[in-house]
Amino acid sequence: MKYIIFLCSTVLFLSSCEDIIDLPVKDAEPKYVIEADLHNLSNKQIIKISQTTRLNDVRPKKGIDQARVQVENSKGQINRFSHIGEGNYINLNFKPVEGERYKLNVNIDGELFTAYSTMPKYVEVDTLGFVEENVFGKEYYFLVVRFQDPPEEANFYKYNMSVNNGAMEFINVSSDKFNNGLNVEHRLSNKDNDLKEGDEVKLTRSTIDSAVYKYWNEYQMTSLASASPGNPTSNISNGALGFFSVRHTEEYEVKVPGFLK
Amino acid sequence: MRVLILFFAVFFSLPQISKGQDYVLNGYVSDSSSGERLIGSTIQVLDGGNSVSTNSYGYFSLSIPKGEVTVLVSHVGYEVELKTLSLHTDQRLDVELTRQSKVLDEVVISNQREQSILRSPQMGQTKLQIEELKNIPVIFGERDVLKTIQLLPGVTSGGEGSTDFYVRGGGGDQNLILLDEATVYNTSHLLGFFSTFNSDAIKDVSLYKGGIPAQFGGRASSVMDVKMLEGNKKDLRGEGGIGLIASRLKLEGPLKKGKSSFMLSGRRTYADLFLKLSKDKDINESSLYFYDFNTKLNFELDDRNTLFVSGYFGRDAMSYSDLFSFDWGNRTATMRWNHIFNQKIFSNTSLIYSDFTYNVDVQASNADFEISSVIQNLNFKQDFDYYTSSNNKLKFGLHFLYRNVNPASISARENTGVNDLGIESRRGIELDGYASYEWKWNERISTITGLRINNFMALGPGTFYGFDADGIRESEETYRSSDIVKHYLNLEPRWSMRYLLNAQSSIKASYNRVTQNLHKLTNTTSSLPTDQYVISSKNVKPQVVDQVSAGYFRHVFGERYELSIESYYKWMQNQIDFRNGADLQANVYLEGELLYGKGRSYGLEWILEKNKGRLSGWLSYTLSKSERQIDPINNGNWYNARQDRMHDLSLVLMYQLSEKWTLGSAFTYFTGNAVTFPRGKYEIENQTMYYYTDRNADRMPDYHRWDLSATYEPKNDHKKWHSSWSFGVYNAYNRKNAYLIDFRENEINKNQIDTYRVALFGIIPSVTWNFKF
Repeated sequence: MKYIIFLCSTVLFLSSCEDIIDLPVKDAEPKYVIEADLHNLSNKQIIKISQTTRLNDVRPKKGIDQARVQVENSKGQINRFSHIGEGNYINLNFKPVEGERYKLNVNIDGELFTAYSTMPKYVEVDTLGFVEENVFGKEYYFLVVRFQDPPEEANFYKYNMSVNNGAMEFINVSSDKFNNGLNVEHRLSNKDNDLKEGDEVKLTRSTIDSAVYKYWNEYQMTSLASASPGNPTSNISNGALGFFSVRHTEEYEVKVPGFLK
Repeated sequence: MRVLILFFAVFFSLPQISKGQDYVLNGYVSDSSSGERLIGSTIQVLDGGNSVSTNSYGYFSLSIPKGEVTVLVSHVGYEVELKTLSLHTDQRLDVELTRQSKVLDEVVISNQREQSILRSPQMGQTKLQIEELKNIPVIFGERDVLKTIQLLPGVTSGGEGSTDFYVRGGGGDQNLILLDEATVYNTSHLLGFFSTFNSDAIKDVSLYKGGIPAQFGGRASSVMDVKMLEGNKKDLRGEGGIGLIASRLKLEGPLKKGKSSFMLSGRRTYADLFLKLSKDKDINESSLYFYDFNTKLNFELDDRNTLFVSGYFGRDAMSYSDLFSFDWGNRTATMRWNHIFNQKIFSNTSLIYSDFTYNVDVQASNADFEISSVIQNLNFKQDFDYYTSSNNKLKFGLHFLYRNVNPASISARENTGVNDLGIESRRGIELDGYASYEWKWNERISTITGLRINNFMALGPGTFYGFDADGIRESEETYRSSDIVKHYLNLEPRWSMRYLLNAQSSIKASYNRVTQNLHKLTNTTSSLPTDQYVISSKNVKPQVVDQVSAGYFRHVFGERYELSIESYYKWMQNQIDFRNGADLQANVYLEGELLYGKGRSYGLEWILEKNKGRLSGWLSYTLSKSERQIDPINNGNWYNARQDRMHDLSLVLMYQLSEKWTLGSAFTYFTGNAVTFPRGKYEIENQTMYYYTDRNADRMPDYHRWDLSATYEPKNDHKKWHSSWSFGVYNAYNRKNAYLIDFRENEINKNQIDTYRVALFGIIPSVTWNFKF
């Protein structure tokens, strides 16, 4: 499918042109946004709570300072998060574990938001390397991840990448719907598709649960060609935007090698 | 079935009541130069006598009082033929009409009462003059029936340069498109820029937007009935053209002079030949093209029997190196037998096959697989036209349809990173019966009353799932191949009437119900060959659309102009949409992703037409609204359908400047489509996300465009060989109409959101050389 969309859009945009126009947009009532992205990499966990802003607002977001935030495990043990400014809430002594189901509780002025997420087991990488491919006459580098997908369950993978110590950026999510139990290869590039020789690449590879996959998959599927774009489906109750994820993550650092041919 | 028999019995008894001392005149009307039978010609007894028009096979039957009568036979664009007959018995009359030579001065034929829009009780119908198409400017100079109908009131275009269209606020999958009675599933080539209809091969196009006659069923919004040319019965003729994008060639001629003929027409694009020029191996081994063939054979076996065989084959192909290929296309095959039982009963028997397939082949190192999908149907149709003694007409028939939908399945090759994935195919049968009676009550009133009965059965074998309100699977049932999974019976009443106010004006009204059992799922802005089809099932109910319409029709400025005003209101039930983030690809539980609701649309359409004289064309304007209500989309509130447009205007003009030059102009203006723009923003993982609220509550910028064309036909002394040049300019004032609106972070300050307008086509000139021999 991705090939088709790629080819179709190539055809469409061969003759297209674009310019910036002034189009009046309407504003909606602000809505709460919760980004609770917990992981196994350290004891330090951050939950971000904010509100939507107008499209033309100079601020990227409006932090919510007065929330009460906690994460509870299946045995009822509670980890409280404290506000450190700009809507960021922190807990310095909490490292989630595999297989555990966690519950997020957020209370903003009496409004309650809850969500559940389970940390999946990690799927080890067999090999990690680069390939070079020619697409429409141009050379591109791709980071190749090979692994054995476990056949007994549905698995969901999420990749983020940072190049030369730049910002950690979302790359994609994928599921094993079409290759369950196989020896699978994922091909990755950075957002701008411009990896080059000598680039220092930091890759975070996570296994995530199905609700979090759904959130990011909807995000990555929303393209210009969508008939009716919508907000990615959140796993948080009470209509908040964002998601609650407890991911199982490994980090890899690799350097793009010299010309491979 | 018993209802059906009773229904027919009642109708059959009707004509018996009328008087019976008249004689019957019957026969075919055809073109004198080619022998091609003419659809919709008028046969009229002079001095206030009865009249009838030829059916879609060029046949007529008329009851006439005995004695001496003069009959006038006419057809738009042809010389009128007068026949004086002395009737002492039933008589066969086959008439040949001669095409009018080019007229530079307006000729208004007196005493000619054409089967005008004024008099027919049918409403909501538009016929395209195929001859006229060559003078209407279109993109790339490729004349196209689907793009021309978008210039008519009540028809909205699916997007820039697209052949997709919506009729009276209905869905894109609700148009029944027939090519010689075979359903065409995908009407576009090259992702919508060309239609599958090669206008060289087409004889007649009728679009029914409302008051849909009972002989048609299966799609809820409109019927577009396309008939192919039969082929010249008298001489071998050729026709072709060389354009910027495609070339075409048509050959037609007699197999046995006057009795049988063939027509063969083909077309191919050659944009991809430029790819071959590339030095890059990957590119010069890539392809991007389409071709299609139309063919038709017809055999006049004797006075009473004619046999037609026709077919269409079209294919689009695109590929990149040996890594990826994607091809799709339609095939149709129709066999028809026209039989005249007696002067009053005309029968047509059709056996039809059509399919649509697509294949994707990926041979990358990490994925090596094929995807294929097919939808196919087999039809048997038996239709009768019964002409009563009182010159009323009864149409009735039985239609049988078997349909098989085989959704995209993946077959992986060895040692590949992909699993096989098969999705069960779905089968359905539709058995329809209909009857429709056109009754001239008196000089002023005439009506068409009809009923269609649709019997749909979803068949096994297969595993069918039940879902709860949230789309979660809750039951599972397995059926064998002999099982009927679900049965739907729908009665579809059709009714329309005309009341003649005076010789210059009439009013009409109609009501119709149409149901639909094949549904297309698309979640992109333009339709793609990979869009999936589902047939009605336990979860998916037939779409039901009721439409009422009323209209006022009149001649203005003598008979030079025709003015039509029609208004309509439509109620739509069981409309389909998807849940947020629905997984439509190779999903066994696809039906759990679907949402059902209702729709409504209403509007007012105006068209002022001028068909005669040096200057011809039309001005059309539509004021309309189309909405949907599907829980939980938009919190259950009504929202605009994507194709909802308040204003839609077109002005088409053709002017014959001299014997050699004809000029054409087309101007279009419409309100921007209903779309969803972000109403706020927020941050996730340090990137800007857009916040969406109400579905389709925003508007694209208004669309307008002006196209021009000029056709040069030099006079030549060689009798047979003609050539002409067509020049065109698409989007003459280079308007940047927004195809998409894209919101992006400013590169310097990412908190600033820039609004980009993406336009598809600027000004595009074109030139085509056409020839005829």
